[in-house]
Amino acid sequence: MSAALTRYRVLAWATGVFLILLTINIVLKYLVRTEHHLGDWLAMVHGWLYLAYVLTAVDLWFRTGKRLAVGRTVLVVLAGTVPLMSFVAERWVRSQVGPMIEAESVIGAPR
Amino acid sequence: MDGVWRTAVRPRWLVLLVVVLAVCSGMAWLGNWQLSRAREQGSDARQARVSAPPVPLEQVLPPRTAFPESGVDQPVSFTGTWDAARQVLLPGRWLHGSEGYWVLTPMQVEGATLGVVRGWTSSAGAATSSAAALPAGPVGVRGVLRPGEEAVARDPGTTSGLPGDQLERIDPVALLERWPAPLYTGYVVLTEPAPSGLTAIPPATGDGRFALQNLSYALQWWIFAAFGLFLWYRLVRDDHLGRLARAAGGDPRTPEPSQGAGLGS
Repeated sequence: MSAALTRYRVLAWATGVFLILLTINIVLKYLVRTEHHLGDWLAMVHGWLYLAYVLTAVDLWFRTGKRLAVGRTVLVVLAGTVPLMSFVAERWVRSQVGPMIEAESVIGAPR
Repeated sequence: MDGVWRTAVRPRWLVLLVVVLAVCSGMAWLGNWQLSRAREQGSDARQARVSAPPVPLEQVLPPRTAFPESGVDQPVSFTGTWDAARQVLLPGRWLHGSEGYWVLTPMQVEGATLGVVRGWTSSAGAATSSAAALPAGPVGVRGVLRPGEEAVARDPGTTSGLPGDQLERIDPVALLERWPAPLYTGYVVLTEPAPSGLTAIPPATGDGRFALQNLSYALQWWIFAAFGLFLWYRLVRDDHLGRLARAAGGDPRTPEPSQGAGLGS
């Protein structure tokens, strides 16, 4: 579960950072209308990172024995598409899963 | 995994399956839509640019001038005379998923030669007969202006090996060997009048970069759709394993056998 949490956290940060860059890029391209925007490849990279983010989030949900609330987990998954929200989601997931990992390490993990 | 489908037909899982199928078909449809965009179109900005009203050609690109940056994808109108005998074919051009030729016919405009891509065809014969049907006198034409294509880099002394009436690129230097000087520094993709016997080329056909972006989105939508179906199966299987464990007389508080297992197990 600990490795799955790390995977999720890495992807949450990567997705979050790229989403911020993508947002800046959209502002530059469509609002400022400058030619010096960062390039459309950002959207492509964010797309693939988000895909990996969803996989790690759902994987983590399974590994916690589905103890994370379903509704909240759906919000966590959607957070990867809203600027800055993946950082909030990451904090919440860490606050929920961290104690579960500690409890496991005390009583011995089921596997 | 015998009997997992007996769990799957329980009302709760059937309802979830209907929801999952609805969402996943939506995702698959979005994937197809992105794929068609990747194939047929350029970006929205380019689409808007090529649909602007045309300006007279001499305002954008007079003969014997360098191609201006503002001339890329500029709709233009002009009057000229077709020179059908000097028509050139460009092989290896794709349209609507098939490979064929761009048909490039020179036109005498304001005392200079301008290449006009009249359309696309899969057969060289159709291009020849379509050229024969062109009017002899001056005609008014509309199209979208483009800069000449970059020549293919090749070792000195080697050739493309193409037949005499074919070229790889709309390269003004190579065209100078075939067409009377002076040449315009760009070419035009014809929009009006519609070419007879040829397929019209959408003026904002993707330049590859945007196509790659749309293709990437298409793949992502399909992967999400497949993942949705897999997730449904994975939930049903967990429920089924839990039922089996409880039916075997285990403690009802026993966690499901898959407890703690990730997606892949």
